[in-house]
Amino acid sequence: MRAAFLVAAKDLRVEGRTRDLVNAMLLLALLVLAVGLVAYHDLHERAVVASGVLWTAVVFASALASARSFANERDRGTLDVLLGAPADRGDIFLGKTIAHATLLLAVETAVLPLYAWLSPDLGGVALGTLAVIAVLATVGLAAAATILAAVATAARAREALVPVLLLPVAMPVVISAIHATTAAFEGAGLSEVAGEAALLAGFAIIVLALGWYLFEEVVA
Amino acid sequence: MNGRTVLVAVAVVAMLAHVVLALVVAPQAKGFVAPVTQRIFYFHVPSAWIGYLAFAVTAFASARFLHAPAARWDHLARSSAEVGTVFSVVALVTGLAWSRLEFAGYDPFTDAKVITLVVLILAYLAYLSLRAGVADDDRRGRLAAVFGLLAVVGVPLSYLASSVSIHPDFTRPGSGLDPGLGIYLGFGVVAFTLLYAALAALRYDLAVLEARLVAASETLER
Repeated sequence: MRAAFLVAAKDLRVEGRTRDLVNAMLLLALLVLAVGLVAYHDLHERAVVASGVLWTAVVFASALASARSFANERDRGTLDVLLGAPADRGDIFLGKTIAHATLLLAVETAVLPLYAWLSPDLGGVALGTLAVIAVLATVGLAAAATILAAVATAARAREALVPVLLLPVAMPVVISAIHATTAAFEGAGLSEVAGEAALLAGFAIIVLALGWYLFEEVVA
Repeated sequence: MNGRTVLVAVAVVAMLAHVVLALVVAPQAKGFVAPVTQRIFYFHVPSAWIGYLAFAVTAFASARFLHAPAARWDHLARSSAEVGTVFSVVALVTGLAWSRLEFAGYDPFTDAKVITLVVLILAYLAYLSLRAGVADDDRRGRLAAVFGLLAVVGVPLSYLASSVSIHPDFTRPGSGLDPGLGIYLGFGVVAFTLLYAALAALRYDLAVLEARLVAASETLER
């Protein structure tokens, strides 16, 4: 477990120096928002649109950043060093997931106020519900993106393959997160989205366990 | 005649019989807006069943491959995935065509079954593109198997997620097929399963031949 936090700290320190990933993710989220504003400006159900556009941006930002993270390690030759470290392969996966989830949450926090602007009634947004849903969804998404980015890095198309692999696996997160976020934008309490929250938590636990167990097979 | 030939022959006969039974012999179903179009059912339901069955076979073979890497599990996973892709696309197309004639104002994306089928097709396509992108046999087998197991989480949970979140606002007129017609649907499921087994077996043989060809040309190069 300690190794996982060390790997996460290492990833975040590298990111803190270069800010490659966060900048690209933020820009992507803003671009998707701009497209959403142009496309749906006269739609009535703006809470639905806001959450749909938000999670579309987050999923693709996640695919982009996780792919880039593994590609960077590979290009610099640090992946072999990392795998050679006296740490469990599962812990390395966990560490990468923690770092990726942290970046995603940072980006979500930064762009959420802008997305909330798309939603009809700013004062009525249930911030607590929104935070719980975002954390649960982000952990599951980050775990799936991390293991699949590792898979894609070993293939020829590499980064281009990550969104293709991520979407079918992460679709339950996308569906649940969009619906729960829509409810939160409309002021729903946590009990009203308990089903979605349970599903997001279940997905996160299953994929974390699978990734922890299967990471060895991917990088071997 | 070897086992393969028998399997293929039985599958072809069963499918021909099913076409005649479903389109000619089966009596008209009652309680449908478009009773003739309803016969799509006899092809739609078995195709969807094969889509999921083939997916389960791929996942099972993937797990076996990761447990003890043997080329036969990888061949099986791949063959089943390729055949399953075709059947799930058939299921989606026939389902959408039928619902369009049966329900006015039906929105497919409020239906958990449609969403799950779309996710299933996406998973198959992703699985096959991943396989196409890895040259080394052992590595391709392992990566594809890992994705196969992760997709097993994505597909059923998509059904659960859509059932939790989306509350369909349309109801079916009548409630399903008359009990007397179930026999034709049952026969269809059997015929389609035979067809799937025959196609997957042929694809498996082809995968074995491909692997031998690659091995032979590598020997020649040396």
